[in-house]
Amino acid sequence: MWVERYGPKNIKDMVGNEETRISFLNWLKDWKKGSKPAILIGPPGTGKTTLVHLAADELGYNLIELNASDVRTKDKMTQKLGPTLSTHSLFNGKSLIFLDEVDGMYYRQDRGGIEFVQELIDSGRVPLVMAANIEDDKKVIKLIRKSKVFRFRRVVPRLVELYIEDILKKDVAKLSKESIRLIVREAKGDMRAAINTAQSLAGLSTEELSSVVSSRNLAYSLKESFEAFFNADSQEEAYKALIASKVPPRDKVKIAYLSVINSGLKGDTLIKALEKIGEADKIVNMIGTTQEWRLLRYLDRLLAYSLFNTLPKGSVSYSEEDMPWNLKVRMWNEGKVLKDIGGRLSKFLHISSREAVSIFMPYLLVVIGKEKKSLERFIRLLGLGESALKVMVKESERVFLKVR
Amino acid sequence: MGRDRFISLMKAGLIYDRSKGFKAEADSNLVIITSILKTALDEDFEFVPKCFVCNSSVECYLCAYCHICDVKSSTPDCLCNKCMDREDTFIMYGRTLMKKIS
Repeated sequence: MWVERYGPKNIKDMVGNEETRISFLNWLKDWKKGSKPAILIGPPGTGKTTLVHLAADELGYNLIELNASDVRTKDKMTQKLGPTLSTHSLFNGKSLIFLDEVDGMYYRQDRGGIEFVQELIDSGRVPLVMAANIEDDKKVIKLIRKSKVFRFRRVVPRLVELYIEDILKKDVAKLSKESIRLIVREAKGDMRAAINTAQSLAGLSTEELSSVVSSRNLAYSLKESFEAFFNADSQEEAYKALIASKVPPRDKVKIAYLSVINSGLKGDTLIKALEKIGEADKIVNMIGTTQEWRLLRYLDRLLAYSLFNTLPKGSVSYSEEDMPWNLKVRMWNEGKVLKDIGGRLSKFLHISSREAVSIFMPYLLVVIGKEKKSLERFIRLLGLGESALKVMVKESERVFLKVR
Repeated sequence: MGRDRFISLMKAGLIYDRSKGFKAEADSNLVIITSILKTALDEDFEFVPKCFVCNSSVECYLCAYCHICDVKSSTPDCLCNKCMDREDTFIMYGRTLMKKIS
């Protein structure tokens, strides 16, 4: 496998996430007993596992690894890691414990495993490194709170291309620029996927390769397809742009919706556009219920002929944001203010700031929320300003609406 | 920009240096930062990646991947056209990293 043969042998051979790699290396160099563990978070194929292996190698650590394919119950983990933990000081050896894919640990199957990891973190006797693909998982959030976080992002296409070209030089394999671009495009920042695709394409004859490249090039990504749709000059062109993307119809409706709500369209234009998307969504749902899958072929036509006509040319661009950005900013700012209020309240009430906001504050608002003056006094008492008052007024309106 | 927005930007991981201005790092939440700046400036703008080898700004509009590259969710460093066309780019890339490590 090329992934093993041409995978990086040294930290400097890796590409992407440069700052993160350097700061992780510094963390491991400076590690001392009692230091926080490290958690590496990022999408697959961005070099998390490789970095841990190479860093351990370069700094002379003996790596003890447990990944998702191992049973990670408390008993099994104690069995595997126990000797390291107890003999660590005797040998003065440098051991590093690496728990890969911690987001794949489950309370039921890996009985007691997560608690064991917590104990391991608290003990702080050996450098502990964890890796996860997602960070909005409850288990991972708990671990993040106790760890030094290193975030990995997708590798930019040019760096993927650089790496693939270097492999091709080493393997004396030849691929056209077009094929390399196809590999990079399909990998979407995942180095492992890019290397695997390169290997599979390098084994093809010139004819086979050109047919693969041309057939894959025909299928547009959702982004390409919708960008062409929104900028089309005619209905027919818009229709062609939509059918060029071979993604599930539900995704097309979703992207049409997200792009429209993030576009800044206003008034009647926005209402009409949303109505058309609503009709398309209704049809997709109806097809799902009646199992009349053959009707799906008309969805592209519906979107092209009804939605396209409601949008002024160039007024909408592709977006995957699940919320309009102005709403997102508002939520972000209000959340921050609520956190401040919770923090100050918690000091008075000797409870956590989360409890202060979720349990105590609704009652408080019922009592004092009706009168703005009382709210003002309360905010002053907490030592907060105008922005906190605005949020409290809004919160009290929300609470009264619920009470009613 | 206002105090509140400035604090939000700092919380989203933007770094401010009086002499150099703002700097986004690997940990910065570019989606949130973009949203805040969009409201503050009331205009569209884009993040421009830096070339890891020569530290110049990368001209994304000249890149063959500009339509598929999501700068906000990718690593902040890239390669400029000039460095990409060199024969020894991969070696130079590794050397730059080693310099930064040491």
